[in-house]
Amino acid sequence: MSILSDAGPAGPAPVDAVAAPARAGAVRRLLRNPVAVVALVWLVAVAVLALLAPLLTSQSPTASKITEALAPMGGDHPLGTDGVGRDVWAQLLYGARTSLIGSLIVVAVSLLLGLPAGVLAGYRRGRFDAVASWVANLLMALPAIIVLLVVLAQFGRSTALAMAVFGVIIAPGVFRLVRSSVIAVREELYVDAARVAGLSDARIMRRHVLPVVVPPTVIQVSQLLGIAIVIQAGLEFLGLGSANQASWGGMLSDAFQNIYAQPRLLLWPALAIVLTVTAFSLLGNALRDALGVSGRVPRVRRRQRTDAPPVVAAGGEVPAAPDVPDALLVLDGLRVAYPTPEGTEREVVHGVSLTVRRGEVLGLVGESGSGKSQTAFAVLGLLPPQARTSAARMTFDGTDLRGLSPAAMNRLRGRRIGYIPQEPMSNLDPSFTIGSQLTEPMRHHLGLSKDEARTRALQLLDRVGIPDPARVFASYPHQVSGGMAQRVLIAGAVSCDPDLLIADEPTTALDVTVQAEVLDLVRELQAERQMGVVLVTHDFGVVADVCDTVAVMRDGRIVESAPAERLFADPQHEYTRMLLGSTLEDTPARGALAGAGLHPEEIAPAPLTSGGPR
Amino acid sequence: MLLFLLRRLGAGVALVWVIATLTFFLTSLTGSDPARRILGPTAGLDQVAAKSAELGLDRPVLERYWDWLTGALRGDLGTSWFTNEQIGGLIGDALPVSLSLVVAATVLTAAVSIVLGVVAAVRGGWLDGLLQGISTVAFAVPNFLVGLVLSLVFAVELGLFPALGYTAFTDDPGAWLASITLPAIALAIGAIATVATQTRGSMIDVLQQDYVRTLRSRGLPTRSVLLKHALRNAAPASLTVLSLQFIALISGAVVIEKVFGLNGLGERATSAAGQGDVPLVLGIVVVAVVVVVLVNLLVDVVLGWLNPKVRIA
Amino acid sequence: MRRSLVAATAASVLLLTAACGGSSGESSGSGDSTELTLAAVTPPSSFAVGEMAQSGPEDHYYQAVYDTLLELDEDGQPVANLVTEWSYDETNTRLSLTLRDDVTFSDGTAFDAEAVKANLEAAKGRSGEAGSALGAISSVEVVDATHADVVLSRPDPALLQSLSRSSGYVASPAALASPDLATAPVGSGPYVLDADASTAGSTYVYTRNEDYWNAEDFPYDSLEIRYLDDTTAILNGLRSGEINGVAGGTSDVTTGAENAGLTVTTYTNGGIEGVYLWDRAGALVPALADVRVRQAINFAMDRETIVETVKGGLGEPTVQVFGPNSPAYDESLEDTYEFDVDRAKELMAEAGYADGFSMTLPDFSPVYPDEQAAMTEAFASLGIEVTYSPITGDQVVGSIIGGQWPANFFNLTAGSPFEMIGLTLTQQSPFNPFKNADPEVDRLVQQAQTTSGDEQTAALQELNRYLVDQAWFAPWDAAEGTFITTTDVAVTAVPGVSVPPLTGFEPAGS
Repeated sequence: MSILSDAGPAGPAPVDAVAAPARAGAVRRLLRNPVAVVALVWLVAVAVLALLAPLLTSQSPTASKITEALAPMGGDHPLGTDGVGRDVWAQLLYGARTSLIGSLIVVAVSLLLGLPAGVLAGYRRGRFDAVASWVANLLMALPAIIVLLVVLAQFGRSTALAMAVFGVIIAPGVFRLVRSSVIAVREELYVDAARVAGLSDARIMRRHVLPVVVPPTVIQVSQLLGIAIVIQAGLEFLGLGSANQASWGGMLSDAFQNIYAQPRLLLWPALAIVLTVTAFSLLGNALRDALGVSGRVPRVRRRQRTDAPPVVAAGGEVPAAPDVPDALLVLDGLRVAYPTPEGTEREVVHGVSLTVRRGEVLGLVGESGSGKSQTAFAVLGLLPPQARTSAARMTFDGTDLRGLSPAAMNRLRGRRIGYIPQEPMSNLDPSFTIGSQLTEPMRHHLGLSKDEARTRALQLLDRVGIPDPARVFASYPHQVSGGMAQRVLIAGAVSCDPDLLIADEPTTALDVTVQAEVLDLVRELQAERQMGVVLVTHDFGVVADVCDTVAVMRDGRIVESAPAERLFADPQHEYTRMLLGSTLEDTPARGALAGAGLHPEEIAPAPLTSGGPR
Repeated sequence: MLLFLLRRLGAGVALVWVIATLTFFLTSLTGSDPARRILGPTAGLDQVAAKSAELGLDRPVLERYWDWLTGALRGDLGTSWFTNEQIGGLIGDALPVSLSLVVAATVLTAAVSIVLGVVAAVRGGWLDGLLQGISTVAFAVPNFLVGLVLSLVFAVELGLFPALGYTAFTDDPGAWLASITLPAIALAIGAIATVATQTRGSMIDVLQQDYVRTLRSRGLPTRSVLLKHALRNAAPASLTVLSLQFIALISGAVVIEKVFGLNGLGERATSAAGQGDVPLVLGIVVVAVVVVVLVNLLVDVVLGWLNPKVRIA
Repeated sequence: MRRSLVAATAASVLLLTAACGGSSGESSGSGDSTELTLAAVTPPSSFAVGEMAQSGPEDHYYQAVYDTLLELDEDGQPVANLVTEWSYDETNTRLSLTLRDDVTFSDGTAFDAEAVKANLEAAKGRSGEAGSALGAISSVEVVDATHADVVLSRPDPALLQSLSRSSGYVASPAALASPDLATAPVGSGPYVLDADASTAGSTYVYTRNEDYWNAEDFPYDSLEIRYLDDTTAILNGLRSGEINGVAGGTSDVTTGAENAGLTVTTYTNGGIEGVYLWDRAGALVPALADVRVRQAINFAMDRETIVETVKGGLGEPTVQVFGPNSPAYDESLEDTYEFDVDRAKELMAEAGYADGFSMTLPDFSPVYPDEQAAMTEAFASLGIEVTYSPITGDQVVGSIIGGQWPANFFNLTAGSPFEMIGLTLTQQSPFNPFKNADPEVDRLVQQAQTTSGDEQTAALQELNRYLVDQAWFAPWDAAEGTFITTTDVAVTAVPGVSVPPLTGFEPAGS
């Protein structure tokens, strides 16, 4: 658990997210997954064995030869015989038939009921949806076995009947899955567009709805097959299966009767059931991956911290960080790399060096993907766990951040280094009140009592310009606006009087009108508390507004680093000039840029590129 | 919220009624000669006819249904055809057994699943792979197989637990715990596999949320980030799965009670269904569905409490 | 889960060692001889007089609280109990009873002739097995406190047996009218039911009746009977010493118990097992109307092997429906149908069924898998093709009596030849579903019922011989029951009674 404290899986992964895979390649992807192949081979083998049972054994699975009860393995009986002399091998083969047919019945019945009902309910909604959902809820409240007991007691024992009834009981699972998929796709624009374009319902169904419904259903079917086998075994154990049929559950039951005489009998049916059900589950998981229904969780590995051997500065034009006496943050040769699926590493930050002094605002500028956020998170120790970072030097106020213990890092974070995220709404915990999220770090770091923390939080809220601090304090995040939420996050970042503030595009997600206010707030707080600030942005307008020095990043390198005024007046690097140029051309007016010698009307906060939220 | 709960309660009552009615007609219209079954093979035809009359089986089915329904509404579920005991009493004796078992299994499932799910989500790597593998297999092992092996080893061979029977909590809490330990473990294994997988998934989802990074940027201890914030946000999804598993556990208990000789609702259900003891079957179905409805209500309340958006609304 | 997985792994290893090493587990029974815990595979149906089952696993529930008028001795013959002396008049229609004068019921009411009258008359009116066995009683006359006369409408040679079983249970006359008696027995028996410690339908706890007149026959101070119907659970309970005894049931359980190092007591339990050929008139399967086909079926049964393997040796191979301790039994009949498939095929060919025929039988495999398998095998050897039709437990008896099956595997249990006659040989018999009438059978039955002594025995044996020759049935064996106990309990059974009576239980070695 210690891993998370130095880097959880929370940071942004720079590696391109696997693009939503096309289904055409699903089968190929499935076959590239060794687990899926093994599972498939097993299942195919079981199916083939079941199908060819009469060819593979001359013994009958049900005919008992009482003189040969509990015969050992070998001879006519490759796996021996059971307590009444039935051939175990034949029982296994024919039992596979029973199990597979039973689970196919379950799947067939549940699909037959759940699929059309789900599509119809999701697509048409209205009364049919209401009725179908009610019936589904009704079925889901039923304890399956009790229903099966009642039905079988009334109509006689029959595996096929039991499985059909179970299919009905489990159909709501299919129904709900299909229904929600259809509703989701229905809400999407293209269906509406398709409707407007006058396409027939059948065509919409075929072209738009079914493609969305099929993948999750296929996965669910695979799991249902496994569940059906387990349930069937339970019923057979209770003695509710068909009688003149070999079955794995029946074999288990029989084996337990003979457990003291011949424990080996237990092994075969147990293995058959466990392996087959496991294979179905694994296949389901593999299908999920192959169909890309739900993103696979990245492999999380213990991360090597920044104690790698010193790296050579990358490229002569990157200035090594000078030894500045009042330096708060010093980075020298920071590199960040991620493992690729092929087993190699991909470096996304190539030796970044920079220095932030107390009271200085450093603008870290670049297009999205330039590595600026990666650099910021490396300082905070919040990169994803699979990231590998190394640096020749990485100090905060004289403390070496490399190899710092998680606990020590936690003492710096929040207390001495504050962080303002980009997207206000997604950065507040929806389950806790704003007040509790504000006070928790203060109580932890500053040892404040509950009341003290509350008083201070209310002051902070007031300070960041929130009109009714008490109300916001008691509110949940979903009850406040985005601008308000960003102010709350700023209040949280400065709540413990940090020395360094790292702000990651703090205004990008806000309305234009709010952006200036928030930026002013950051500047005021910085001035008031003499904080060093790393302001990550792609917006030269913002840079001009608040930064003392600027570092321009491109492709993981700092291409130019200079005091703000000099940079605006005399950009050295071609890339800087290009960035500045595009800013000036495209953007509407905005004030407070006089310091940079530019006309306010000509600078705007519009992004250079449309880097969406990660 | 209150209105929401009242609506759910109303739906629950309707559900119980519909299921009870369906069961009544299913068992009443298709069953064969219960009087013969009660009296045994040697009874004469006239005796069988007399017994049928005594059970009221000669009356129209709608009339019997009405009597049963009004009786049930008054809390009188009738008398068992086979043991002459009051159904209420029979179920009253059996319910604590089943509830102990199912609740213990649920608690066990919740506790173990949270630990496993969180550990798998947070540590990842080989540990995650191992737990995933174990879950897959645990899910595939029929619970009665687990129960029988546990019983054989820990009760019969090692004598650490009783092999069968139930001791009421009020009689001896220690013996109560001992009597449900093995059954609850056997029952919980499959549910643990399911709920742990769900918890792992929702924990991973939550841990990838921006607010978790922000919380960590505030220097909060890992424990608080994980167990207070992340778990709280992952809880609704896990709880929903757990509530579905609860219904599955009631089903599973039917088999497990048999293995451990516990005379709970499941045991009663098997024998009553086998004998065709219609009043007892009906009573059990009604009680089981009522339990499910109540648990679903409880889950709704807890979900509402966990999710501020619902709570405030 | 990790811990339980370790445990499960350990479990499987231990399981294999335990099983391979044979019975390593010792019974960890309490060793306290004053407590006895038995398991029964059914719960008690009713404690009401006349409602109780005739005999079977339920017996122990009732024997604990009720005395019977008569008792069965070690040979299965009626002996004195609450009734000390008895005699029939010359027409066999008046039975005079002399009663003990020192017995009181647990509610304080004294046992006397009025109590006998009240009980018998109440029982007779009830629909249970105990009640229906008293059908011949027309009235009970009280002579004085310790003498009563039972007046019969017809001679009933089976009556004394019945009075030694559940028809002879006596409850307090003060409680007879109460509907509570069904669940709250008031008797004069060796124990009283502790309702507080018991759980209805599950666990029945009995404590000693301190005033009991015959305490020395019941060495245990307390008795617990648990309803358990899963054989694996029962075996586990016996192995761990949590229960001391259970009726053996199937041979699988018995074999399992022997392998587990438990004590197995065997005894003839009065049941005749085998294939009962109901459709002798050929209503459903014309072939069965031909006596040669029925004889062929008898020849096709390898009784010795069936008893050895299916029954695990628990049975006495026989071709007769009257057991070895029945007066109707005739040893010399046993070689009538020596196992001979060739002979059987000849008979089939003579009857015109050289290629066999087909029939549909009820599927009993959930209860009798081995028996059904053996039957299928025998039929198959004659080319008789059997289709099994699924059936639920509560339909079994009704469907047989209703004439739904031409034949089936079955076990009819009778305490006396007359009981067997009543069950299956007359036209009123429930187990004569096709109402077969045979003048010769009727004549011999009539003769046996109206005579006594040697004459009666001769008539019964002649009847028996006729049934065997005509192959009315295809019995396999006179069943032997087993009672499984932990090693610290010894059991003495009564032949012809399905479960050993409570008096037969005592600490081993005492």
